[in-house]
Amino acid sequence: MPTVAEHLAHRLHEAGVRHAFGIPGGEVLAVMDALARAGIAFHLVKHETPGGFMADAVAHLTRTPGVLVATLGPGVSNLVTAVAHAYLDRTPMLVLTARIDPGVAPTYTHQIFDHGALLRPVTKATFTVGRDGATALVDRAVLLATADPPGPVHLDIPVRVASMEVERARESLPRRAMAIAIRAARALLREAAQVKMQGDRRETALAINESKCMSADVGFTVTDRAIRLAGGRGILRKYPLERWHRDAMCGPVMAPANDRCLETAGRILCGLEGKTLEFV
Amino acid sequence: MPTVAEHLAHRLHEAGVRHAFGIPGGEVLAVMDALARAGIAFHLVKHETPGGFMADAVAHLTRTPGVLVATLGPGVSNLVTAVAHAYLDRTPMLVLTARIDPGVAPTYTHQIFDHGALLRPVTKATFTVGRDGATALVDRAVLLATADPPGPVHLDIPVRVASMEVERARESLPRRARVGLAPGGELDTLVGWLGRAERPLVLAGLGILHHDAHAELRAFVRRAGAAVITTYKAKGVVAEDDPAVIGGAGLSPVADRALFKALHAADLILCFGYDPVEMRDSWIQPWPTETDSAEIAGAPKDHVVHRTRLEFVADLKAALAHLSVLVPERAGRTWLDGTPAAVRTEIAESLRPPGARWGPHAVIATCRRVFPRETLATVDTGAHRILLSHIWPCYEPYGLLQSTGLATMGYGVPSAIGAKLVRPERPVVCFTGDASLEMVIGDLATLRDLRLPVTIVCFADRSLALIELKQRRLGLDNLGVDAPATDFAAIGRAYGGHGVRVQNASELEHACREALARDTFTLIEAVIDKAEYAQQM
Repeated sequence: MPTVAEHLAHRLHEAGVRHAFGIPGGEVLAVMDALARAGIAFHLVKHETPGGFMADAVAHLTRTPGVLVATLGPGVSNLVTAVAHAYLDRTPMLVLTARIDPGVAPTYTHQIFDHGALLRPVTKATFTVGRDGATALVDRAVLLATADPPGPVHLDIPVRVASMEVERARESLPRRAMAIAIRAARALLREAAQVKMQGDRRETALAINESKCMSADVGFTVTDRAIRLAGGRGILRKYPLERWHRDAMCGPVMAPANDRCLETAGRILCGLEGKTLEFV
Repeated sequence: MPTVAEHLAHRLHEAGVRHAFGIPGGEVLAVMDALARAGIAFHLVKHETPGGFMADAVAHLTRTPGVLVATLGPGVSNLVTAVAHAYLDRTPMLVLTARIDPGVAPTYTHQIFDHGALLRPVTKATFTVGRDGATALVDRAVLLATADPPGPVHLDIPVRVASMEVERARESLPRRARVGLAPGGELDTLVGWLGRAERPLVLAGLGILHHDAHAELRAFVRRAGAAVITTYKAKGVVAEDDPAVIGGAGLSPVADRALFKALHAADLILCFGYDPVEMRDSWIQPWPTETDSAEIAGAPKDHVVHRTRLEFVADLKAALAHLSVLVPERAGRTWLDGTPAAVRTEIAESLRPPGARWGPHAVIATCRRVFPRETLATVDTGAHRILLSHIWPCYEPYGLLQSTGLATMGYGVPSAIGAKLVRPERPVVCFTGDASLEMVIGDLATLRDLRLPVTIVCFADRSLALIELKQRRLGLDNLGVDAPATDFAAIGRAYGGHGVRVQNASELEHACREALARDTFTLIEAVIDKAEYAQQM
C-alpha cells in the first residue's frame, strides 16, 4: 500500500509535474523522497521564495502545476511572497509544507505558528492532511489548484502522516476519467469515419451506431461529473455547465435513441438487418 | 498640528527608537519622512526580512522597540519571516506598512491581499490606522509591542491617512512600574524550599533578558548557591566562566544527555523567565514532576511544555532582588562542585574532537581565542550553531544574538549589521553557514553601504549538514542537501569588503587578526568537512 507522500507524488506526476523546488528540513524528508521516486526531480534552492518563482516559470511553460516544498516555521514564512505571487498571478501551484505531529503539538511551542492562518489570505485553500481522507484531500488540492482561475493550494503534512499507508487510489481523478471518456468517444467517431471511407455498408452502419451511442452517453456522464466537481456553483445559470448538461441530456434520447442504436448494432452482429443511421 | 505619521514618529522617538530599517515604496514616503525629521535614521536594506533582523538586533541591544518599514503587497509578504521571528523570539517591534486608500480599494485589485489577515498569526496585533483615533491607536501599538511578553505589532497605514492632521498629543506614554513578588503562602513556601535545598538549579531564559534582570539573577544565584542552565539565547546572563553556570542548553542531543543528569539530580528547579519556545521536543517536561519547582515569569503561562508546582507572575528584576533578600545564605553549602561541574566537563569532553583536528570545533575555539572578551557575536541556524552554543562562552546578556524561537536561517549577517550599527565600539563577529549566508547574501551590500567593519566567519561545507544527518538516520539517500561550492572570498570582495578562504587554524587566526584591524567588513570562508558534525548529534 502506498503512503500519503507516495499518493501525493503519484498524483503530481499524473498531473504532469516533473520538477519540485525548495529547501528540505528534517520534517519533509518523506515527501521529498516520495517525489524523487515518482520521477519528480527535487531542486535545492537558496531561499524558498525564489524557489517558488522557479516553480512558477515551470508551471507556465509546461502547463502543469508548480510544486514548492518547505519545512515548518521559517520554511513557511519564507515562501509567502512566492505564494502571494502565485495567488495574484493566477499560477497553479501546490505548496507542500511540514507540520508538527498532532500528538506533540499541545506540549510544544518551538518554531510553531499557524501555517494555515498565515497562508489563507494568499491561497485558494490551505488544508492540513490527516490520515483519514488523505487521498481525497490530495486529489482535491490538485484539482483546485488547476481549476479556473488557477492559483496556489497549500497542503500542510504532519511528519508522521506523510509516511502512513493509505488505500491505493482505485478511481482515477474525475478530471482524468472524464478526459479518458472523451478521448474514447472521439476515437470511436474517428474509427467510424475511417470505416465509412472504406465503403463496407454493414461495417459502417455498425461503427456509426456504436459511435453515436458512445458519444451521447459520454456527453451526458461527463457534464454530470463536471457539475459534481464544480459543486453548487455548477448549477448556476451564469456558468455554462448546467446548459451543457441539459444539451447533453438530449443526446441519448434524440432519434435514433441510444437503445435503438444498440439494437441495430446487435442485429448486425447477429447477421440480421439493422436499419438505423444508414449512410451510403 | 502634527500628521498621523508625525505623531507616530514622535512616539517611537519617545520610546527610544533611533533606527528604522526597510525598503521604501511610493506609499510609505510620508511615514519615512516623518521618522527622519523626528531623528530616527532610515536604513535602506536589500530585502525586508533581513531588515527586520537588523531591527531585532537593535531592539535587543538598545532595549527599545525595533522598527521595520515596508510598502504594500510584496513589501508585506517579504517581511513575514522577520515578523514571525519577532513573534516567536519575543522581540518588541513595530511593523509599519502602507495600504491602498479606502476610497480606491473597492475598485482595485493590483498587488492587493489582506495584509492584516496575513500577519495576524505572527503578530500580537495588526491594526489599520484611520484618521479617527489614530493617535490613540499608535500609542496602543507601542505599548502592546513592549508589554510582556514583547512581540511585533503591525500598523497598516493608508497612504492619505499618513498625511492627515491630528490633535497634538498632550500626555507622554504611560510608564510601567516593576511589580515584584506578593507576600503570602506561595512565597513562604518558595523561601522554605530555598532554605533547605542542597541541589538548587535555575533555568534562565528570555524573561531575564526582557526584564534586564541579569545583575539580580547573578546576586540571587550567588546567595542561593544555585547552579544555572540557560537557554541558548540567554547565554551570558550570568557570565559563562562563573562556576555556577553549567551552560546554554536546547540544541544538542549529546549535551542534553549530560544536562538531564543535572535536572534529575536537582532537588529544586527554578524557572526564571524560562520560555521553552527555544527548546526542542526533548525539553518537554525534562525533570521529574515530583521535584519541588517554581516559575517566575512576566506573564501568566499559556503552555504546558513543562509544569511547575508554584507559579509567580512578576517582573524578574524586582522579584529576584526581593528573593535575594529573603533567601538564607546558602553559598558553600550546595552542590556546585559536584554534578554541575561534572556535567560541564562531560559536555566539553563529548564535543571535543580527538587530537587538534581542523573542523568546526577548531574554528570556534580559534575565534574565541582571538576575539576579545567584549566581542558581540551573532550566529545563524544550522549544524554549526549546535556546537557553538556549547563551546562559545558568553559573558554578558545578548552577547550572542540568534534566532531561537523561530530558529530561522539567514539571521546571522543582518543581526551583525544591527549590532555594529548601535555598538560601533565593540568588535562584532557573525558565525554563519554557507546555506544561511546565501539565503540573505544581498545584504552584504547593506554592510558595505553602512561602512560597518564586521567579521563574518562562514562554515563552508557545501551541505545542509544537519538535514543530511537526519536523512542518514532515516536510511534515506542524499537528496536536496548538497550544493557545489561558492567562492565566498570572491563574494566578499565583490560586495566591497575583504574576502579570504582559510583551511587551518593558523590561517584563520591570521585572518581574524587582520579583520579586527580593517575598516571594511571581512568575509572569512572556513572550509570544513561536514562529517565533523556527526559527533554533536
